[in-house]
Amino acid sequence: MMNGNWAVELQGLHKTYSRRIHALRGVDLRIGRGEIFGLLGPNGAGKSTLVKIMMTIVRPLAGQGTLLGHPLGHQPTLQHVGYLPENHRFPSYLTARRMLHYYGRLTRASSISCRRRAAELLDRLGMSRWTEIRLEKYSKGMLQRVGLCQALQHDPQLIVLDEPTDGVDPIGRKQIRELLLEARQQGKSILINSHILSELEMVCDRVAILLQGRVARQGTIAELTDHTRSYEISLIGDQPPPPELLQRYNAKYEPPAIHLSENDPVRVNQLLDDLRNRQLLISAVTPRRWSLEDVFIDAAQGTGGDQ
Amino acid sequence: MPFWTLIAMTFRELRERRLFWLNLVLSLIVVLALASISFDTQGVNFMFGRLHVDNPNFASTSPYFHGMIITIVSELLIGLYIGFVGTIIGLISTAGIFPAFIEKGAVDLVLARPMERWKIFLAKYFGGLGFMLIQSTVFILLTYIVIGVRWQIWLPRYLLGIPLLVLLFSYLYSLSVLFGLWTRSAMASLFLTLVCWFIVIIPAQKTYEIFHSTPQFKDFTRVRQFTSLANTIVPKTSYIPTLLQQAIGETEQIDLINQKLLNQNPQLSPADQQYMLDFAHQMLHRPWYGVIGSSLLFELVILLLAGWRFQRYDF
Ligand SMILES: Nc1ncnc2c1ncn2[C@@H]1O[C@H](COP(=O)(O)OP(=O)(O)OP(=O)(O)O)[C@@H](O)[C@H]1O
Ligand SMILES: [Mg+2]
Repeated sequence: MMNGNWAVELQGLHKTYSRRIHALRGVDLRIGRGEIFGLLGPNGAGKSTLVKIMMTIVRPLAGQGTLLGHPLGHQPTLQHVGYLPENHRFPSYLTARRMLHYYGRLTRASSISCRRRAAELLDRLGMSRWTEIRLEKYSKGMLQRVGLCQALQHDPQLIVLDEPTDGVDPIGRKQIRELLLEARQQGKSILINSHILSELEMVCDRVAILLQGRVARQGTIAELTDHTRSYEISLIGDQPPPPELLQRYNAKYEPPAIHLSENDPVRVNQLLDDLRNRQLLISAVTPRRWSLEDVFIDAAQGTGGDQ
Repeated sequence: MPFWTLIAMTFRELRERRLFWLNLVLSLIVVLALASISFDTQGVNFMFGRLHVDNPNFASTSPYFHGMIITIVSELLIGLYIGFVGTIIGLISTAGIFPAFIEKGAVDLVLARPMERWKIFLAKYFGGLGFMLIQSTVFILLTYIVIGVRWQIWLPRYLLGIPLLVLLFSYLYSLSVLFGLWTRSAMASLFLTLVCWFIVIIPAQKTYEIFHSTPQFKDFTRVRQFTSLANTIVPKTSYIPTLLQQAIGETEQIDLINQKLLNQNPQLSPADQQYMLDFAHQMLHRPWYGVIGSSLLFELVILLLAGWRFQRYDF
């Protein structure tokens, strides 16, 4: 069922390029209002294609969807959407101020509030000294920053960013992250394509992993990593734990620590008791959990192995 | 509002290119060269009076003076500049509009806006035409003023050249847009457009004239029909300079010239002479709306093709 409660709702999206390249093979995706959604996947997985379909740059072969409650392809909706494409090329002969003005007008944004927001964004991203300089003199990360201003200046309800931090230095990334978190607080919905998983992990409420045109996994970061929780029990001394104990708990011993792939804290404590009963000294118990990167690599290699 | 913004940006972009200024400078050089020539009661002055040639035939008092100026304007400004040079310069300057526009990463930024694609297409198209309008206005207005001020001959109908040059340009520009979208390259699009013009469009008009004016081909019915058809389909590029030449000269005068030409071919039988004259007369007095209308139809079809491709394309 489609309804207006989602910022983005996509169903069964298919896309082939020139009849041969299957970029998307049935993608279902929902992004809630006020949510930061991360889209990850290997190169060529179809992330940009998905985003371009949302922005009416590419036409889907099949499938349907809504953007802010309006069907895909409904051009007036795009007034409330901000978009930063990957490998963007702004007219290099324009200054940042004129470029922002130009794209603001194309978005039918009222020029006064738009200009005010643009100035504020430029300031926040450390670009205000550069506004009167032609873009041809900008570095890659600087272009990325003003590109982001371009996507945010008209106060969009939905923000779609294709690799927004590509080429941006750590300070800039932090500034961008703060901007995005702030936008979420104002109820904006955000879709980010990125390869920088640690970053997605920091800001995203939910992520989807796209593999060869399909959503392989989807959920909150916790949902994706909970089942991977494990414990590491470090021992003092080099006396090994009895093998039958390890077997009972399905644990592995790699000196000087026992690895317990177990989610249940009760079982962990039982093992600790058993160890202490056998006069083994414990120096630390560390909970472990996969990072988004581990999940990603696991997912990617999983399908890789299928073929 | 976004429509006009896009048109304005198309201008802005053309202005950024060196070609734009080159065109303007070229126009100014031609205008200056014209202005450097003046006529007086004795003869003609070149280089703003530095070089004087006494010749009563060129004198402003000569009975041929008016006709001579008309010929210069007809042959050089209209036949050469409007008919070819100006149009080609326009094509060179604008060939890059669409290829640059649809570059990856640039087109995305414009398509993702609250504006239908066909409007974006039209804005870009009219941007090119507007550019040509400026170029042709500058050139024709300046030459008009120079002819009037320096030679005391005001040819208000010559100003019709402004819209006519844009019209002629627009026939070929539609092809350039189609090729530009297709090949994504300014050079390729320019090349293909010129090839079309010189290898298809001009020959189609010429063969039509030859097969319909030469008495020897009277019986080649099939070929004549074919050339008629071809001539109907292609945009009548050669007609535009002719139309303008007619507008500033006297139509009857051109009829007379044809008559004179025929008299130089006395070996033709009177019937054949009449045949040729009739055709020349018929060509001269074709209704302009028919010729321009069928050319515009060609342009429309090409534009629909280009627009369709633009509409459906996955950028
Ligand atoms: N314009 C196009 N024409 C033909 N094929 C295309 C086009 N754009 C993308 N593709 C193909 O579609 C597939 C998905 O590409 P897409 O750009 O969506 O991947 P991506 O996930 O964004 O990759 P990356 O991480 O490298 O940006 C690829 O196989 C690519 O070759
Ligand atoms: Mg991509």
